[in-house]
Amino acid sequence: MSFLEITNIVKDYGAFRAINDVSFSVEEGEFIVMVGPSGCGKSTLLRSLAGLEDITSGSLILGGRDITRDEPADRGVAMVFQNYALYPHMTVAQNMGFGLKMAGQSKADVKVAVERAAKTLRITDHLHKRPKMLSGGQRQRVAIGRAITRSPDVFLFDEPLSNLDASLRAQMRVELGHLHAELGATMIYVTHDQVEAMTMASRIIVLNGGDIEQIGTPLELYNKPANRFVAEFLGSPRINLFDGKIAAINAQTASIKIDGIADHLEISLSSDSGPMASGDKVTVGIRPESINDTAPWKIPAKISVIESLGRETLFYVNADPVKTLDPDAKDPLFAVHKSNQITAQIGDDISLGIPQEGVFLFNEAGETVRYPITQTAP
Amino acid sequence: MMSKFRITKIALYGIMILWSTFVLMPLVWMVLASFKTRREMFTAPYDLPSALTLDSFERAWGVGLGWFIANSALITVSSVGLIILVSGTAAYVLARAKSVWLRMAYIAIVVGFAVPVAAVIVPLYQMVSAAGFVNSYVGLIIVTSAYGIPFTVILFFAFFLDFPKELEEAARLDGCSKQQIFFRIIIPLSGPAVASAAIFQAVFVWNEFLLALLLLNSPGRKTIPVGILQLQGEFTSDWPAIMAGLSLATVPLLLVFIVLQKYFVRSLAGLGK
Repeated sequence: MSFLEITNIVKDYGAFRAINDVSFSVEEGEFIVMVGPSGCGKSTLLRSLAGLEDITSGSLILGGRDITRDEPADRGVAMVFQNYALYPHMTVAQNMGFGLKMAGQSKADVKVAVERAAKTLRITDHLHKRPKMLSGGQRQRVAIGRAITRSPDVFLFDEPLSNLDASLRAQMRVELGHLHAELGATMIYVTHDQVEAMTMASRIIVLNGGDIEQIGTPLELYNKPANRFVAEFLGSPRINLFDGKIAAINAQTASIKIDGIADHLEISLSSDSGPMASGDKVTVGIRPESINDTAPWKIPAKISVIESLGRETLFYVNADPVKTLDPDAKDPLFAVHKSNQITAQIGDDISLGIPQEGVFLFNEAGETVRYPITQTAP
Repeated sequence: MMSKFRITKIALYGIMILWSTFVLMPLVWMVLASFKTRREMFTAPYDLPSALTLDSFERAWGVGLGWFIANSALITVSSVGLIILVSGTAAYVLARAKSVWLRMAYIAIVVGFAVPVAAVIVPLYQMVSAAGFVNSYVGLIIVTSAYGIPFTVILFFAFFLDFPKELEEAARLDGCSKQQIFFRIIIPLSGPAVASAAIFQAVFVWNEFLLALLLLNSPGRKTIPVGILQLQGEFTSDWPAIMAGLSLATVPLLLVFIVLQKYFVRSLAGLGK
């Protein structure tokens, strides 16, 4: 049995089902990141684990103990909130020690626990201060410290870095990674930021509309997304998608017709490819970094936007008549990533070489029917 | 040439000065009159007092003003305390309630705020009398509190609606019961709301006349507004003593206001925040 077993969790708000029969298990010491768009149920699920929401049905077993209906404080979990939720009328030390004090621990024990946590987070100098006097990053450290002090079985993080500015966020990401390694604790982390998910997670859970789309390590999800939703959700800039139709298929290869391009895109198939038939409509996907100059099959395009980021360059190109399928974008532009500096002008012609090894295919139901052939570095 | 902004500013100050004078004049007259002799009161009502004599204060004190102040203080402190305790707990429950019945209870309380004291005074007297509370502090405290509670519930309700829920959730995770959340987290952070409620209700209870006149009739139990009425009865022409009594009666409330006004103004400016 796993350390944390989440079985058939359902959460209804009246007629609205926020979590739809979700089950997964977490091993001790794992760093689980739950991602998904707003309203996908990730925060509700986290709050259900914390006991702040009563679940409609299902069960939660932590360390062999059924905690489904336990009070939040009795579950052995600690939570770090997005806006810190520090008590403004208490000092940092009082904030961190409040949980232990309420649990009836002696003053001396509370002090020891608070000081140990403060040392881990390097906030010993601030222990006597009120939260108001601290910066955002320091407050978030205190909030994490408050969780550590209680030495819970599971840490729950609800978008803890989203109130911080970009550079502080990057720094805290690294620190949280260190902290996880140092404490060896089980952590469940909710975010809508896929960079946080990719960088910190042992495993990612992608949620959508109250359902789990996929669970896996960051690279599994990136390289082998179960469906179009996961493929679109992970990766920035987003994966380029466009419509195609299978013109011919056999066990080894498929030939795909793209409207507006004379040559068919020929791709190889393998044992992990899904069922496809001639005449099927498919969605072709290619990651921005997979597009190159050398692939024989090309889409002609014009550069619309150039983002020079120093060590890398992003192009957004118009490949009319081939349109990308991005419901949010005003112009259906392809994103191209080059890992070097490039001198180009807006309006320049460019050929998008689509290597067949990098191509994803999704069927009409959105399921992945062909994964790219990944070359893992040695 | 003066800028438009400056003219507006001067005009606003002018209006403010006029209004302040209008409000403060009677008060200034009251204080000045308390230093006058009985004769001066009528011969030179608008002049400054000829000598700063404290005789009228002595006469006012002589009829038991000290007792009236003590009675008023006891009733005000007890009533305000009771009002804040009851309204605070009630408003917290109502603000966090999801049930339709509790929402309706809140509306009923809001409606109760609109009932004028005089409208229900006769049945109220009968009830208090039947309960044996006539001429007792407890009776008056309960009745004045009942009148103060609806307004204070409304005030706290608005404040608690905006109270950050995460703090309560953090407290639940830290092991607080509902009562502990209320007394350890919410009340310590409700200073502005409590201060506003305290000032509003202290002024109301301190100056309350009708209920005190009706429910407390033994001389030793009277509150200031009722006690001063007695002063008028015994010394019909002693207006300086009445003014002296009223001036003294204003002092405690002024002190309360000065201490709490920072919160009070902040609370009004932020509509209960």
